[in-house]
Amino acid sequence: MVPPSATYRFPTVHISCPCDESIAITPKSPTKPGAPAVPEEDPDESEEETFDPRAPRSNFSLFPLDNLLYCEDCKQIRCPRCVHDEIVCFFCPNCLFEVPSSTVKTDGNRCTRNCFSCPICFASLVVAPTGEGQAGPYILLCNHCLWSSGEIGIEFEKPTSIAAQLAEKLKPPALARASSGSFTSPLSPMSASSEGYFPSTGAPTIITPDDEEDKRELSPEERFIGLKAHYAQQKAGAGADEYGSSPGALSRLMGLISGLGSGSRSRSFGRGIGGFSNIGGKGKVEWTEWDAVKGIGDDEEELVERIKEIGFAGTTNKEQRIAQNHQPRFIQDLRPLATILRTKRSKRCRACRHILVKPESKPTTIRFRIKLVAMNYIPALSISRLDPTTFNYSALTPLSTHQFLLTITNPLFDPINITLATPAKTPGSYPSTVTILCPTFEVGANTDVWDEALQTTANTPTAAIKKGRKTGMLIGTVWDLGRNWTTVVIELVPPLLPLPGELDEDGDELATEDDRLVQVPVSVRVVYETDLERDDGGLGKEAKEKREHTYWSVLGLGRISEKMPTTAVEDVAGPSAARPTSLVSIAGKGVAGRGGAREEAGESRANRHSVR
Amino acid sequence: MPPKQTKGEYIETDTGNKVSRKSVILGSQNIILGGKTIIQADCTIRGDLRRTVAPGQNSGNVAIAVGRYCFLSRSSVLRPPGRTHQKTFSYYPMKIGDHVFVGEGCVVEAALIGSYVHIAKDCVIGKFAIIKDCVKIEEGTVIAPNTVIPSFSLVSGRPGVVIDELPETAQEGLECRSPNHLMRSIR
Amino acid sequence: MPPKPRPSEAVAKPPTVLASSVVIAEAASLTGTFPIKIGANTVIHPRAKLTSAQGPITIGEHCIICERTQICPPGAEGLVIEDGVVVEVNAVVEGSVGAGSVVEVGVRIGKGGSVGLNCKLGPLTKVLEGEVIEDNTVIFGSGQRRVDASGTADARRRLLERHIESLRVLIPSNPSKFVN
Repeated sequence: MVPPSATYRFPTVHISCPCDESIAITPKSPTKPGAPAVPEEDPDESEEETFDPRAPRSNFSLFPLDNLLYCEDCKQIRCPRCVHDEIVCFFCPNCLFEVPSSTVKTDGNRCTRNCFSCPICFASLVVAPTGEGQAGPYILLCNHCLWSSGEIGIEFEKPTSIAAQLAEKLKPPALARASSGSFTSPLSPMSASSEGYFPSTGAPTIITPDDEEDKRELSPEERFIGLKAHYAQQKAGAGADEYGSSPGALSRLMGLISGLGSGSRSRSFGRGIGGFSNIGGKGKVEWTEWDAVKGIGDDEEELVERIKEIGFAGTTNKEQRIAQNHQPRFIQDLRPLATILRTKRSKRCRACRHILVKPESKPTTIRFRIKLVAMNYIPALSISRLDPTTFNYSALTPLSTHQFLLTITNPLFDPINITLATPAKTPGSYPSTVTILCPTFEVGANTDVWDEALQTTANTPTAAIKKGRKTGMLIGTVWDLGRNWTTVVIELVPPLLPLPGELDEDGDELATEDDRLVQVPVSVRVVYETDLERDDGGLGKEAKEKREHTYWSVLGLGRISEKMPTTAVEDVAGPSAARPTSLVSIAGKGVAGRGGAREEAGESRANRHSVR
Repeated sequence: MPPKQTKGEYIETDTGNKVSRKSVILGSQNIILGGKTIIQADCTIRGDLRRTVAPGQNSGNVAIAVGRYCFLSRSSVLRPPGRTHQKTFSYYPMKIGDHVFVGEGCVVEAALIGSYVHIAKDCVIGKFAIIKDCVKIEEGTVIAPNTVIPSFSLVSGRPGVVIDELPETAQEGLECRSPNHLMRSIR
Repeated sequence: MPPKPRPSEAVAKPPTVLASSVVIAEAASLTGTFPIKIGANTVIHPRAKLTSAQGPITIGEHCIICERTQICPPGAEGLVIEDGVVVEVNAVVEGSVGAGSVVEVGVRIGKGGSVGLNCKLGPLTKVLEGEVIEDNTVIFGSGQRRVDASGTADARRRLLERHIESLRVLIPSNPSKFVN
């Protein structure tokens, strides 16, 4: 299921957003902050309070610090799940022109200029002249795979407003009939599609077998164009017609068709259907099942014939097919893809509705009017290896002590006190033993870089505190520290896992790939004093406020190697015999208890790792 | 070559650019480096491929302009893009913003690369591509010619397409001011 | 900084046949013992490497061989690059290439491979050892193939000729260095 090692990038640091905890927004304070290294804890109690990175729900609450926002009013981290997005502007990602939302409503969410992507490889297409010199006719050409619109018989007279020219070329023959008075024809192909149920108002009589042949060729765009023309005509000739007399109903219906209905979607959809049923003007609504009418057999025979003719190379693959509205089976039926618009969005806190992120509306600027990101409010954690030489994070040797450096960097302008806590054993069926050598310490304020240089050395805490780097590794001393960062040592002893391929009595793997990943939950408690409201209080007041913030983070320290530690192999004859019996029994319990959910969680987590 | 090693691998310019002696810089009179930019060994920069048609009013003869705090990793190639316009072929200037990281073995023929752009190793950026600010391009990506990548995009694939949006913190994350950060990116 | 002449110059120069209109940069590298033949109006960029240690190299007319490319025939049967071929940066060519084909950035043509007429090998794609690529094939993406039906081969050729004319101005040519 998961390709081992190569896809992972260690170490990782994720922070848990507490928004899935319905009871309290603030996570409970961790167990005995003073002595996390003590292994003797009541198992039940610690299980309740420890964040379990392997729980299925954890997948949805863990984010890298970069992706988190911070609400100043709620004094809480906000993740992509607990913010509301609001569209600031639409723009085309290719020509970078802003598209007004009214245009998006009428013309759909695709670029209406010259921006298209290749239906074969999805690179962007360029307008290229085919004639001598720079003269026309012009084609859309992909510079990556050399697909050209000439292959599907489309050439353009002029090199500008390609979208309009293309729409003109793809105009269905049915439209001609529509403009000549038969206004039901743009609708009937929609009814004839295989989609099942459609209300009909006597439409069956209109569809004759030979007509149907034409109409099946229509793509949704063509139908859209047809419908649009049809309703425009309706609106123009509105009078006694109850539908045409209500412009509100028309705009709702147009909104529905273009996929961006005003107001709630479900509501407008409901009314839209009502509108459909009245179009014929016959009044009575009937629902008819159309499956039976559509002859599938003929279709397939035709398809088989065509495949025989063109061969496998002429058929589309899944990606090419689903990118197109009409989902064509043959490359000959592919159309250039108009570029889908992109949005700039502002973000609001779901709890207090305050704006957390507000970008400037110009599509090409990267400035923000408001940007409350968590990395400016909560200390950042980073992991490195104590002895960085020739170390593979993807192959941690079991049963030996690994030392990592955990660096906490303070983004705040006040010094902070940090209390770290971690369960002595990580959650999961194969727990690793974790020790943080110095769980309580101070991190300096994030002053200007120049302050440090200009300050006299006596003022900084740096000189006063003993550093483990100099004195050797001692419990209770930090390893190293600087202006606004402090590093402590964290020790890890990974367990010995059953080999891949070893199965339990149910035929499940004893140790899944997920079990091999070492994920250490660490609770970070931040306490600091800050000046109260510097803005309105003025500098003279000197009112201090004590603030506290606690969050869970999960350190992905690596992956446990399949290789046995050399000592264990030497001691006993076979590798399986070398495994402590207690470990196997825990494994059996674990797998039996939580099989399916764990599998799933493991897979999605592995996916996330590979994405990062 | 050996006697030069004693002077150190990098030549430092007045504005603090560090250019490896083992890099290949052609047409250096047509290249502008903004300052604090690092060019590693085995890089090739084709400043000699300059405009041959009459340049615009103010563009002069600059073929490649690189901003500040950029990092060109080993074996990367910067090459101005060229095309035929109105029956004459010409190369056009390439402009690179600030804080741009170009990974090992990349070949860049873009017309414009904005600021805060991270191009991972072994990428090919096609001719006349335009990459806006705050973009991250994953390892081994091939960006087709004439592609435009908007800001806050994560790009991957062959040909490269936008696969995700970057968070609001992208600018901070992609800054390459500290050498430590850079060394981590290089691995 | 002008590129320094390579120390490998002391190594015996291969016998070369260069057409008079060839544009060959001084910093290009031609090494080996078998003959190297370069046709009219072909441009060899600086730092392109042509190694004829194993077999002869024949390059046609109106070709562009970019910098950092390596062209080395796998055996005594040699290697032919026909007319109007562009070999882009970082490409490694160990097989023959047909007329009008484009070998993009970082392409590897394996030993004894053979690429047909008017093919386009997209960036970072590969042709396996001994593989034969039919005429008008486009290899793109991560190895997908299709037949070029865009009919742009002639247009490409016209653009290429203009490209070469402009390179003639930009690249100082020094064929005398390679003739013995």
